[in-house]
Amino acid sequence: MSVVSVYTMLKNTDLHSLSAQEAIHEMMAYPSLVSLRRFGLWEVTLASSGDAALNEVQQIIDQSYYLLNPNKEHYFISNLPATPTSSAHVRFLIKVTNRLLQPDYDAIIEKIEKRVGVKVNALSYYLLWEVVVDRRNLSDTALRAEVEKKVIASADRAHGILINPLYETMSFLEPAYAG
Amino acid sequence: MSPKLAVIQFPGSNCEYETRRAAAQYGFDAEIVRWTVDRETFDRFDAYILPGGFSYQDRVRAGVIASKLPVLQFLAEAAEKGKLILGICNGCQILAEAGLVPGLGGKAAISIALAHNARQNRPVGFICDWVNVKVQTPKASVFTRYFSENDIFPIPINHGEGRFVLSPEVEAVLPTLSTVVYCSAEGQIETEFPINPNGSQHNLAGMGSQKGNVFAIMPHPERAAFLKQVPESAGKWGRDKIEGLRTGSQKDGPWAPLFVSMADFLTKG
Repeated sequence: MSVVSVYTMLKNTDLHSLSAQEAIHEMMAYPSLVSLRRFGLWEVTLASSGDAALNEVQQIIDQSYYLLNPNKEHYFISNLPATPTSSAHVRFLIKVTNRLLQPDYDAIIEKIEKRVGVKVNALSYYLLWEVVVDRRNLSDTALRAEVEKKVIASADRAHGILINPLYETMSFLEPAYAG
Repeated sequence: MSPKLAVIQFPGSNCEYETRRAAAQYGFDAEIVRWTVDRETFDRFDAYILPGGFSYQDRVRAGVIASKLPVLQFLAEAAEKGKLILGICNGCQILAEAGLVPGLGGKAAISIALAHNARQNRPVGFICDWVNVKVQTPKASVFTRYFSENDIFPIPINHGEGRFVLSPEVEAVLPTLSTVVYCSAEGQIETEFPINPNGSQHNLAGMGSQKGNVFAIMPHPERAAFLKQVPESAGKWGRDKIEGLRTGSQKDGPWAPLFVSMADFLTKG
């Protein structure tokens, strides 16, 4: 049994990230944000493991559009490549769960099996934000707290934009690391 | 002299002209101003409406990018001074993301959200339909004081993110706030789809601020302000429309009192 991550991102400009970044810089007065990218994250649970599991995920992507549309989306299996950054920057990955929505994953699993012949045990989807900020001699812990308060969790007009804590939850993917 | 009302146009608004028309019909000197309006021009108005549409293409979440604009700071200060502010559909989402509704304790902290439409937590996407609503605690808000709790009103909805989610603090004071709730044609507040079309907590379709001078509503009152806008199948209102067409007379629509009450408040108190 293994869980394979599939990261997806738009091939053309992601306007969600662009507008959020502009709002953070220009309207929320947080110039330390270096870059912002948005990904989709599928977690595919399979009975197989290792290369066999990776091959099955590749097979799903090659033979169906249920996880992503390769005409307009890039994808990465298992590992999300690091954004080229300098040692002056720190990257955080934030996984977002909408706690009110429960998509019908069973229906997708059924369609994958029918079309591709791969048995998926479980499937889940999340939004993933990649936030790169200036280190400014701050510790990872201090930076993480600052990013969460000023960029991520909406509390009022001046603080947070990426998630609404009233119906979304978030977690940092470890580790935060310099470029 | 008519009170002055600004319909604030955001990049992506698409209901500003019909909103201005409804406000002008029911007592306002109404004009459309852009989101980049300067402070001096902004302060000339007595009331403001944030119209429906898709500001910034609903990027990140509906209303969240617009909520960070400087004009929302102007609006927060206007709300504090007691000026009237109405947010319709996308305007409702913007007010929620800016923390202006319900403004508990006078603070602009985000305490309600408009989440994705859902039916038993399954996504249902964008909904475009006529629904029935009724008003609860109408006297608690300038916008609803001319309505009665027993009345049932038809009104159109057009949204993908209209599911009211409340913080525990708002839950605690909800009975004291003026609210608009989805109901059946007979006035029953049933929580199941399609009476509650989007999974809103407490069937909420709209909510007033604690001070009563700000109101956020997901359905479109400006599209039911004239009787000719109401579908003929809309019960008593539909029959009135048919009668009006037959006799050549046209009465006010079900949501005219909202605009009339706003104008009256500013001219008569």
